[in-house]
Amino acid sequence: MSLAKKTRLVGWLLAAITLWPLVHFGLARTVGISPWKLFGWAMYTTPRPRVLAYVLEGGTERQLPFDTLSPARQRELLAAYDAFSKLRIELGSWVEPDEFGQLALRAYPNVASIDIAVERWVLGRTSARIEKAGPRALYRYSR
Amino acid sequence: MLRPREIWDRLGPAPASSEPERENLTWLRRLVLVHVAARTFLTMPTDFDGSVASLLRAATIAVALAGLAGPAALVATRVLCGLLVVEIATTLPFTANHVFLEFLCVGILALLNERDAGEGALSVRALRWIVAVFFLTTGLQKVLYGFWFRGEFLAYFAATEDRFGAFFGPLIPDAELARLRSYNGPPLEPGRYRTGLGAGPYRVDAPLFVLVSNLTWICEIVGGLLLFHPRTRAVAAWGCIGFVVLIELAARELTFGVLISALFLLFVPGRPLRRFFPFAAAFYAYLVLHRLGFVPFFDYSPA
Repeated sequence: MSLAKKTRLVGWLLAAITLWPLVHFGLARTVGISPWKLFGWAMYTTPRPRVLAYVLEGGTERQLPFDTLSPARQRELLAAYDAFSKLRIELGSWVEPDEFGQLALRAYPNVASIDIAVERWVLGRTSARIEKAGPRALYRYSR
Repeated sequence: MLRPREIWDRLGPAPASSEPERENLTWLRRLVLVHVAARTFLTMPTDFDGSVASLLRAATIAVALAGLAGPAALVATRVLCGLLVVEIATTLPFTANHVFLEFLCVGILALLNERDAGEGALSVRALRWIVAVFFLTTGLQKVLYGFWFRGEFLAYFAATEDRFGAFFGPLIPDAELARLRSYNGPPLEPGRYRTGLGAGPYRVDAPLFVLVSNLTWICEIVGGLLLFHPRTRAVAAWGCIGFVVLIELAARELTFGVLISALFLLFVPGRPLRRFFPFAAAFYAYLVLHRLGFVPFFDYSPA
C-alpha cells in the first residue's frame, strides 16, 4: 500500500474516532447505552447504571412469585436475568428480554401471558439521587 | 483559528527531520508489545482451560513477547493487531475502553513502519492525534454528562468505592462522608458497594472537593488542547503525565497509567521513550510476579 493510501486510511480512521464520542453521547441519551463502554471515552462521567427486570402477570401489576419455583427453574431464570441485565446495561433498549421472557412464560404455566417490566436506575442530574431513568419498558410474551 | 489541515501539519515533524520521533516510535512499539502481553496475563483467569478464549490469550502473550526480538517487531505487531480484533469482537459490548486504546496504537504501529521516514512521520501525527483527542474527549464527556460540576460523580464514588474514598475522603467533612456511606447497600465485592433507589443526594458541602472535581475536567480539556500546539505540547505532556499519576492514585488502573504516560511522552522532544521503557518493563514484570504470588503489592485494577 502506498504512503498516500495509508495517509487517507489513517485520515478516515482518525476522523471516525474523533466524531464517534459525540455519536456515543447521543446513543447514551436516547438508547441508553452505557457511557463506560463502546469506546466513547465517557468512563468516569456517571455511575454505572443498573438494570432491573420484573416478571408480571400479563396486563396486570401482579409480580409472579419466584420462591414457588423449583430450584432448577430458579437457577435457569436467574441466569437468563443476569445475562439480559448485563447486556441491557451496555446496549440499552437495543436489547430485549426475549430469552428471559420465554423462560419465564414456561416457568409459569398457569398464566396466559407475562410482562417483563424493565427499569434502569441512574444518578439523577437534578436530584443527585439514584432514580429511575424514565418509565418502565414493558415486553409481553404470550402463548 | 487554525484550520484542521494546519493543526495536522503542526502535529508532527516533516519526514526528513523525524529521526528522533521515529526512534521514539521504535521504543513505543516495544512498550506496547510488553503492555499488551502484561495486560493480557494480568487479566486472564487463573485456570488455563484449553478453551478458544484461553488459547487466544496465550497466543496474544506469545506473539507480543516474540515481537521484542528486533527483526520480528513489525510482523508481531501485525499479528497482534489481528488477535486484538478477535479479542474485541468476542468481548463486545463488554470490552474495556483501554483495550480499544491499545488496539488503536497497535493498529497504527501495524500499518506504519517507522523505519520509513514518511510512514514514521505519519505515525507520530496519528498517535499524537489519538492521544490528544482521547484526553480532550474525556474532559468534554464529563461536561456533557454534567456530574462533575457539583462533585456528584466523585461523591458517589468516594462513598461506594473504597479506593476512591481513601483518596478523596480527606477532602470531604467526616459527617458528609458518613452520610454518603449511609446510602450504601450490601457489598458487590470487597471495597465496592451497591446503592438502592432513592439513595442520595450525592452532593457535598465542601468547596475544596467541588473545586477538585471541576479542575479534573478543566485539566483534561485544556491539556488536550495544549497538546495540539507545538509551543505548548511538551509542557502539556508533562502536565498530563502528572495528572494521570494523580488520577491513578485513586483509580489504580496502573497498566493503563503506564501506557497513556508513554503515549504522552510522544509529545516530548528527544528520545524519552528510550529512557522510559526499562522502567515500564520492570514495572510490568513486577506486576506479573505479584500475580504469580512471588512479591507483595497493593490492590489495583489490572485492566
